[in-house]
Amino acid sequence: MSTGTSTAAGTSTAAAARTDRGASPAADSAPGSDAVSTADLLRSEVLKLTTTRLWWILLLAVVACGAGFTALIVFGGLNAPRSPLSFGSAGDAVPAYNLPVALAYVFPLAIGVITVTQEYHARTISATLLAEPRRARVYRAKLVVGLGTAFVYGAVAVLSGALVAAALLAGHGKPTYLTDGTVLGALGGSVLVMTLWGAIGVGVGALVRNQVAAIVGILLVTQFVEPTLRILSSSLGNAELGNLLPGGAGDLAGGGTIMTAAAEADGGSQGLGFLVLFLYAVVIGAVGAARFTRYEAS
Amino acid sequence: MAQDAHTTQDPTQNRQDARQQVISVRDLRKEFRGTRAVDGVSFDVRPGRVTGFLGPNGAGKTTTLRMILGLIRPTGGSALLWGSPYAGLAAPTRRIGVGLDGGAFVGRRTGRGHLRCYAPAAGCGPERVDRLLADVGLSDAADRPVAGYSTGMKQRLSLASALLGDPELLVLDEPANGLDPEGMLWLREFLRDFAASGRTVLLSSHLLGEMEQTVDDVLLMHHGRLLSSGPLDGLLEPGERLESAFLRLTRAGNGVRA
Repeated sequence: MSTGTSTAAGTSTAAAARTDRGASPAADSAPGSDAVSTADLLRSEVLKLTTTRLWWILLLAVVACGAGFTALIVFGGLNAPRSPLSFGSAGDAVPAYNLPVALAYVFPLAIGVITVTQEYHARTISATLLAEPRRARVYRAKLVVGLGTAFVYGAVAVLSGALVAAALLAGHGKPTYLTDGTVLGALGGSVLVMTLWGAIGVGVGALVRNQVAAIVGILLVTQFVEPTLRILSSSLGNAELGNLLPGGAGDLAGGGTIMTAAAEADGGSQGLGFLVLFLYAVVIGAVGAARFTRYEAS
Repeated sequence: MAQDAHTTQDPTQNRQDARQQVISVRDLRKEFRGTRAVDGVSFDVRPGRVTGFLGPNGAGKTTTLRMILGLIRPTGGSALLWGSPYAGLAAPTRRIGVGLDGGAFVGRRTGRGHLRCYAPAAGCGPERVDRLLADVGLSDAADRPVAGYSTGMKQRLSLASALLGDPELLVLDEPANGLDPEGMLWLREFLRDFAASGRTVLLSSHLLGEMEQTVDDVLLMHHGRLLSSGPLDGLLEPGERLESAFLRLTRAGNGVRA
């Protein structure tokens, strides 16, 4: 409906109201005039995230997981008599630098899921859709904020992991390879992969809606089902098939992780990994959008 | 109410009529898996009035409100606000304030946090958020998580939330639930003042006795049908209470398709 008709209707019905309302300061509102701006929609979504503590609890968790496991595994790799990690070249060091993306990608995925499921869980979805009934716009705003938050999680986790790994390597008198193109490409790739997981999370959240089911689901799939399938496909001689699963694709897109190595699936290129993960994000995001715009908010 | 729904000949004429009304509902129907929750309801809500949408729990009031607000899709019929469906309004929360089912909040979010989340779309600045919190008596509790609020406090936060955009229409679902007598009185006076300034209120309630003292117009709903619609004075027989009128109308049987 055009803005013109609604204001025209407004002036007739609320003519009496206007004169009275002049006394109360209503300057900050312009009834029915302009559509809700994209900036306002994004602000609203960012506020929904930052007005509870969950976002920084998960941020602490992603750092603890990324940097903590990096410390543990790299320290083990440097000191254990036999270790799956070696540090002879920049390429060898990549799995150490990619520990955050290998182990902590579930956190950007979770925050993406929660941006949608929390609204259904707390039934605030009604208020959200009343504020902007064009649901596709609401979904897009959630997607943008999900991507942005996942980027922050990814950048912080990857950076803290890299600092820990580099410090441990330097402490052992080994080169850190931090300025090497291969390592930088892996770090940048890791951040991008973590960012994409945020969009996948928003789509999964819109598909599942039930918060508990969605969180249990992503934990089961990422921590159990997928690793099992990857090892299985490897043991059946089709290790590359594992790279077509989202977690496998993400590991590959980051430049290879300990999981990629464990499944002996390091045949594919970083670009292929990105392509596969990107397709997952597009498909899940689109199906999520279709569901989100059709649900009845009762 | 003002005109009844026998004017289906000319759709453009209908739209013209609908614009004179704040809310205009025609033959609205909703079926949930074969059950008729709302069964051919038609009514208008006039500007500057408090209209009470009354009936027992399960009468179909909430479903009707949710259809008016575009939250659930009708099986048939139409619901227009100022002649336009809810989704056709540009920035709806700047014209319409809504409070549904006692408020739905994220428990760990504070009262102020909740208002801030919905303030941008309503074009509401931080000063107005502060003022609204004070108006509904939540200034002291504003920075505590909503999970610790009483039912009455949640109702008041829900009302503050509805007022974010300084709306000209308030739609409130059971706003009196969980309020103590003092809160009830406060709400009644607030709604009377709101309507006295030329603005419009549509509220649902199953508390017939309380609504008797609040509303100008009554929509009486029972089993998904509208039993009666019109000014409260016209509905009641001399000396009659709203509760007895409701019983009289339900006993009279099927309900009128208004």
